[in-house]
Amino acid sequence: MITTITFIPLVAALAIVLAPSANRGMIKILALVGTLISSVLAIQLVLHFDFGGELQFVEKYAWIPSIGVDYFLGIDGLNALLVLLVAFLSPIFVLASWKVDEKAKTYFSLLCLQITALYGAFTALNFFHWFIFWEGALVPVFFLIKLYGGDGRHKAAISFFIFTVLGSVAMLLGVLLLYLNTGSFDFIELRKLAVEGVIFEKLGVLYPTIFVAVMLGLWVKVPLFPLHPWQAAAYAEAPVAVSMVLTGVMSKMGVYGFLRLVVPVFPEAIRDYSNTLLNLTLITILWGAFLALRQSDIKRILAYSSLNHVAYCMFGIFAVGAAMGVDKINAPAIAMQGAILQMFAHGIGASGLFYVAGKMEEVGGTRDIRAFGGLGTVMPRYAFVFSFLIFSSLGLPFLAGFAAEILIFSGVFSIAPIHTGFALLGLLATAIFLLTIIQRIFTGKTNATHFGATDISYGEVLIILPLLVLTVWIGVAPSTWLILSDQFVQTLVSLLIR
Amino acid sequence: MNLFNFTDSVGWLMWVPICPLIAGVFLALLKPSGRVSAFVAIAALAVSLILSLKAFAMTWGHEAQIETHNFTWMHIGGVDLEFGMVLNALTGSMLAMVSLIGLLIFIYSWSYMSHDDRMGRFFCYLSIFMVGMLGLVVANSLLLFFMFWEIVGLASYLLIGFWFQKPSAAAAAKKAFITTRIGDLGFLIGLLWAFKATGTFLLFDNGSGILETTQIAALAASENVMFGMNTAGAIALFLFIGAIGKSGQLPLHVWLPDAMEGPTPVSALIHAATMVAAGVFLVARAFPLFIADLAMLEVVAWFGAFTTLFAALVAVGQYDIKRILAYSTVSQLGLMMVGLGAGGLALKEGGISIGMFHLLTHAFFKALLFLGAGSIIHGCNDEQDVRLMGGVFSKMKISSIAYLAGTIALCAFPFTSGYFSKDQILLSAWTASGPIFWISAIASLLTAFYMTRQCCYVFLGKYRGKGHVHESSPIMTVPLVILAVFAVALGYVSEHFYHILDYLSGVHVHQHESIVVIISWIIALGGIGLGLLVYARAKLGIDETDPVKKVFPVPYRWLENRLYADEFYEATAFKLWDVLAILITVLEAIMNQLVDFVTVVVRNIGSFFLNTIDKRVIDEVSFDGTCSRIYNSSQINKLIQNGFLQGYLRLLTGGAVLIGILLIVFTR
Amino acid sequence: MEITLNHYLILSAVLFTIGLIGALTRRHIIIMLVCLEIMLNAANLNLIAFWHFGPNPILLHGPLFTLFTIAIAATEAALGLALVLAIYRHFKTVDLEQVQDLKE
Repeated sequence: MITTITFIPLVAALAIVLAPSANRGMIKILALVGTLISSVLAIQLVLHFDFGGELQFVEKYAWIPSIGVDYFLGIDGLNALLVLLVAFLSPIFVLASWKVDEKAKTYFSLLCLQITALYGAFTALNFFHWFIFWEGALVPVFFLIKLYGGDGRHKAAISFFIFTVLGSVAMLLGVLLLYLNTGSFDFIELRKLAVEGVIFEKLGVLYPTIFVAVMLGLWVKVPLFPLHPWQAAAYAEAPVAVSMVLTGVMSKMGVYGFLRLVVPVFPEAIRDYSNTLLNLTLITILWGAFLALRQSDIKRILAYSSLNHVAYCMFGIFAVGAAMGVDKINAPAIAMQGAILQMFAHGIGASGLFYVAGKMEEVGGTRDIRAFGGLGTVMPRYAFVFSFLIFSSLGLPFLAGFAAEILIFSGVFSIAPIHTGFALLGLLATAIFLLTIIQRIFTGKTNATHFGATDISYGEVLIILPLLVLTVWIGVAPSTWLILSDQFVQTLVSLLIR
Repeated sequence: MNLFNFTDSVGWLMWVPICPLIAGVFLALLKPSGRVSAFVAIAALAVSLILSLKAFAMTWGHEAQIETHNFTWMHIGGVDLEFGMVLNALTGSMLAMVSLIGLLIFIYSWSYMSHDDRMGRFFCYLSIFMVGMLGLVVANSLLLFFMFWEIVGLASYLLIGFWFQKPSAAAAAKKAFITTRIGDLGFLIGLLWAFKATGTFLLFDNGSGILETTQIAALAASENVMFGMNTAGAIALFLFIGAIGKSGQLPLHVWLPDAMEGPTPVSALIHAATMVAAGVFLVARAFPLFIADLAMLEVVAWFGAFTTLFAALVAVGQYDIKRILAYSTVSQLGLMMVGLGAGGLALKEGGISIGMFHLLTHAFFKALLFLGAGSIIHGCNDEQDVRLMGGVFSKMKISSIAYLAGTIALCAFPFTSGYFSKDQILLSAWTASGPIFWISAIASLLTAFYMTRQCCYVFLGKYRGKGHVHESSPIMTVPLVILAVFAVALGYVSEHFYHILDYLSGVHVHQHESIVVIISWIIALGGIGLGLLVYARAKLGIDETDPVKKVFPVPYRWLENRLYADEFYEATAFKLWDVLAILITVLEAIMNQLVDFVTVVVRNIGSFFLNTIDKRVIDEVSFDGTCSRIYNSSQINKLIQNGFLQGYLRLLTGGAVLIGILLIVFTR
Repeated sequence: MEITLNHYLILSAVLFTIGLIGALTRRHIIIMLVCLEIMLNAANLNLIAFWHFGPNPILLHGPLFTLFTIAIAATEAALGLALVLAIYRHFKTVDLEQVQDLKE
């Protein structure tokens, strides 16, 4: 079943390649249908997910038995929510690129390919083919930025590529060393070994090196300070839908990787280095927030805000390390739950924000917020949607951002109160720059250039509406989503903390 | 959670905020016309008012009783995060006040905003505000309290910036949101700390809530957690930072005067009567935490004292009618804090009564003053500068009398509501601490003075503005009259207002000190008298120098410039913040340069591989080189391959002979 | 004087050498073919001689081989002459000096 979900977009991509390139409507419909079918199936699957159970919907076949490579897929509490995230967002990605007409064939086939890679990366449980999807997700994005991006796209694409590839290489080497010492590529197996303390024992002196190497690839992807500089340019220069992919899902791949491959496999390192990790995460939080204060490019502001928000996830995760052997299970479990919810909430909210930011570029022809003013008068619907998403992002209660962040903070504060105190400064800075956006774009006298601007159409509202509904839903009743990962997190945390 | 259970639990309290929520969502989604919007919002709030009065009636006479209704918001990591509603005297009184004043102001707005084509939006925002405000009053969970608290902040932001086409309004809205958010972060730390220490967010939970004796005792047991305070005190301190932000206390008061950019009903409802009082309400709600550490009560009292004096001073130097009232609000909020702090020091739990009583009376007379000011501004053709008013009394009798009623209440004129509540605060301060008493007394004197000054400016003399003055419509004046009755009479409704005090905190409050009563008489009458003395006969106007300025030109200029608080922040905090941002931006730029450098290096390595290794070594030396060497060597072979049949045969033979000879030689 | 194996061998060697030298030096293609035949017959002579002086002359191995060789020589001559004809038709000559197409 998961295989079907994963590869339907790929089939769509192939169909698009075969379709006549003049028939853009057909290409778009193909892409939409492909992603929609996958989404429906994926949502259906998660609806049948047994909250109390372990790994489910497993597909496991020997692939290259001699080196322990299986075709191994499954859904557990960790990735259920992320599969849902991809399912919710992928048709929206396609719809958000509905206005792409130039080289539409390449564009949509790459986009579909990308979505396959995303599903694959979240469901694969064997390093070998997880890595294929992981890298596979990189390639379409590179081309999409390089071919369809803004003015600085070449540089952005190259530095994006170089950073992620260097990180991936480090990770690959690390995992290979891990394999050579343990004989397993299997995430679940590795977790078991780690819990028994075997990994720590077997790796011996190499342990810290391998830990750092594996972490590097994920560190770049999330990204965290100091490996983040590729991010702003890539987010800013990418076409709208690709920015949405990058911030909404790709950054979550890094966080997911941490929860799958680092925290369970290297618990000793997470514990021993927890202070350093927390400090770096804290720096990332403040770094992103303060950087955004002085930007005027809307997509850069959002990129830095994304840096800041995704770092909250890592904050929740690394706090578990600091809690090991110190705390009861409650606080770290809450923190980690918060991190997982934050992935989901931020994925939804940030995608929405990049979508509306793209609309802004369409209206004003520039991304510079200083060129705007008084749009609220001529585009009230747009102003409403934009402000709604911004308030969710700055952590207004009853909207998505708050529910996740309060969980992270509740958990982390019990473990690392000083860090949390400083992280809250990030919240303040977030409020400042996000409200500045509203102030610049929507308030004041209407710029003469915008008199002719038409408000967003109801069709565009419909595209964004699911995201708004989800935002409220997550904010008001987060337990709907949290229940998916509750069992998983409790098991993991109790295994780690012992 | 059973929403429709109206009998045996307090679950129905949820309906108090839900009614305006329904109205707000209805208005936001369906966008009906202005009149329909107003009607829907008012109807919904009326339902809330009825429920609130029911809550009030249920608690009246059962002051010590606390009823709760809790439900699980989420179950996570083996813990239930619970929300709930609580019904006690605080809830009941506050609900009644908020929804009553809210309703009056809603009605007033119907007329006030009727010329605005975004009236529907206005009532939508107002409804959202009421959701937050009523929600935080009923909340039984610190977290839920915080969530509604933030909603209130959002509504305040939206309403201050309601006329967002005005850049100053938009800037004021942002300033308000961000300044209060600084406080909110303190609140957040406080509630996180409370959660860490107790494992729950609930305030009352059958003995295990944060505010109940077992937990308080446990929290107070830990000595010297921070600044020599115990855990309860530390939590209280952070909560108090939240209160400072919301209630415009001294370091964070700067947003409140700017918030007057919003429509006047908003100023009355949010920035005078209810939202800004939420900070005071928070302190009252969390009072057990404050009592657990007496140092914290002193902190509250001192902050309040400074604020009340500071704002009262600044109010003397203002000319904008709404700004004067805004500073007066700040000052009165400070006085409420004094009431809570000093009251707590003097009377323990009874402190709640002292602070809250003033909160309630103040809500009525300050709402009245703002609405009156709105009516006057309306009447004076949207002029807000008092120097351009004058002689209004004769033209706008109803509004003016109502306004004067509010004024005497604010001045604590004997036997008005303000007199009783302020008297209690001064009494507590007298018992608790001499300096605080005198600071509050001077501030009260100034209050009477600047209010008299303002009334002289507005009502006496001749009209100095443009156009002519006209009385407002009855829809606006009726709420004014109702409020005026409350303002004057609220303290006096019952023969012994001590009932109200006892009701508010649930403990018996009785303090009496003749000298304080005498002092407060002197203050009120003296302040008014002084004001009349200075202003009643003076020539006032935009071109005239203020009479006080004539005497004390330099200090008065400081007051006109609001004691340079904004400038101070601009020179310090903003700068620091900017410097941080710039620093990080510069560092990031350096990192970006590094990235570019890495990119260039990688690209150069790439072209090195392309040009040198690949083209030179691999292509030219290795591959092509080998090819050409093979080709060249074939030039020799070519000589043999001459196509001459017998040549081949000869070679063949020669080879065979050679092999033969070699065989012969080597097989020997 | 008794004729021994050596005499036959010497004769055969002489014949082979004559054939070889002829094949290597003469430019006329038919002469070359003739020389080839001579060399074949030198080999035949060897076969017969070894058979005759061999350990078991009763078994007819020698003549058998020789007969095979003669048959092969006949076919070869036929093929060779056919090729010669083809070459002549193509090049209008049978002089090997002028037939150097293998070079290309």
